[in-house]
Amino acid sequence: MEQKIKNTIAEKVIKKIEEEKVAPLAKWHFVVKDNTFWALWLVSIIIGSCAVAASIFVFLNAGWQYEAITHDSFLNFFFDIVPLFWIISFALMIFLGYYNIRKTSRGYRFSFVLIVIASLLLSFLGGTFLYSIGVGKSIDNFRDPIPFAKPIIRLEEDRWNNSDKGLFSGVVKSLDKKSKLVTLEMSVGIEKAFSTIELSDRDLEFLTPDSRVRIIAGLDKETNILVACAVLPWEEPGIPYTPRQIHLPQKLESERNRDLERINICKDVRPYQRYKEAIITN
Amino acid sequence: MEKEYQSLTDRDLIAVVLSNKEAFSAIIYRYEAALRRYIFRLGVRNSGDIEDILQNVFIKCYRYLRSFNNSFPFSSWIYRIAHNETYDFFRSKKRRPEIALDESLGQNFLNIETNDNNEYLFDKEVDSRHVNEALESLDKKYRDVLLLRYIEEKDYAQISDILQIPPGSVATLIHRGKIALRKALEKKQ
Repeated sequence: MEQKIKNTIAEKVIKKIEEEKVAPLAKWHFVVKDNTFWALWLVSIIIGSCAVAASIFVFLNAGWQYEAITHDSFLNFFFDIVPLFWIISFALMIFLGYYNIRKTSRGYRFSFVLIVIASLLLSFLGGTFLYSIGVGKSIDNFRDPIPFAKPIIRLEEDRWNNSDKGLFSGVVKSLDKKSKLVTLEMSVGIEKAFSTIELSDRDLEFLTPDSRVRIIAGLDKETNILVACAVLPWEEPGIPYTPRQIHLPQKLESERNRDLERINICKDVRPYQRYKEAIITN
Repeated sequence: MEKEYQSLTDRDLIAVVLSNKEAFSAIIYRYEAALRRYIFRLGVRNSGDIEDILQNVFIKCYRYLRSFNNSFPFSSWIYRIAHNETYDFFRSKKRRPEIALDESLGQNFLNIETNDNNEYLFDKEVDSRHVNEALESLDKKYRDVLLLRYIEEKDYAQISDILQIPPGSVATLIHRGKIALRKALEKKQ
């Protein structure tokens, strides 16, 4: 009886194979499928590395040295710079990497923790390498067209083009020492003039033609002229491994006292007060 | 036909099947009984259903024969197909598997020792029927590993290959499954 059932099953299967012309699928079919999942895993690691490179760039070039000037609190600053777009992309790539590995023929043998740690490690190594060869900035700029995901450089430009706060940036077009006026080109075709009357010699040193600078300024309501309170350089984004250097003036006490006597309009400009408190006096 | 290929290993037999499909019946003879039992133990009671599942298993096995990796045991590979095919059957019927062990197999569970000493995990007085009921009440992930380990007597690597989970997870699931089974049995008593 048992032999009969056995034969029946074998016969039925062989018959069905013949009738439906079932044939073993070619080896390449499985090789391609397996390699596709490995390739997708590799792609997720590469994209994850890009996210890491961009995040390193963002963190090293977030403008930490100006945090006291541009933001009311450190927490505000931190939430402003956290590259959520890259962090979410990175997490997504780690998840996709895990998913793709598990779809490979031997992928089930690796534990979740092992796959995630390996993916994290490779992404961090890849990200550090990409940042070190200087592509962090280009990768971060990639998110420019995406709403609510501005690149860090664009964010900083916005922060320093905020007339309500008295923060400006641009390229020095002209400096008239007689009339004590400096003209900055804020963006293509848009220029603004600032009085340099309240600037110290050290601030004036930064105002060389064609150099890009940041200016903290206040509005003289009587003359309707912007009065520059302090000038800071606009450093280019970090070269690999080193964040932008802080080139802030170290002042002697006597100089600080002279500043206090000199300033008039600026004493009411909040970013300037913060600048003095947080940077000059340190 | 079966006798002709009896001396061949699974791997050698596969090589023959790839050039001669008639030889595939030798694979069917070799695994049919074991898979039939396994499908039954997974909870398919109707012999017609078992036969349909078996047919699908062997046809899939033939179709995907070249995807079989020689570095793994063939038995694990074909068990995996049977396992997946059986659960596909349950899904298509929207049914929950019911564990079906006979009394002698229920005894396998009564002989499980705890990890830390030589005590048995369960009281030997426990009825096999209760073991069945307790197994049925377990989460699928525990039920599957316990069934493969203590009824099908597969080792951890084989269970890992059949269920497609990491070997480390097999050990964890078996450990947790034993605890869950003991609790479920305590509830029954």
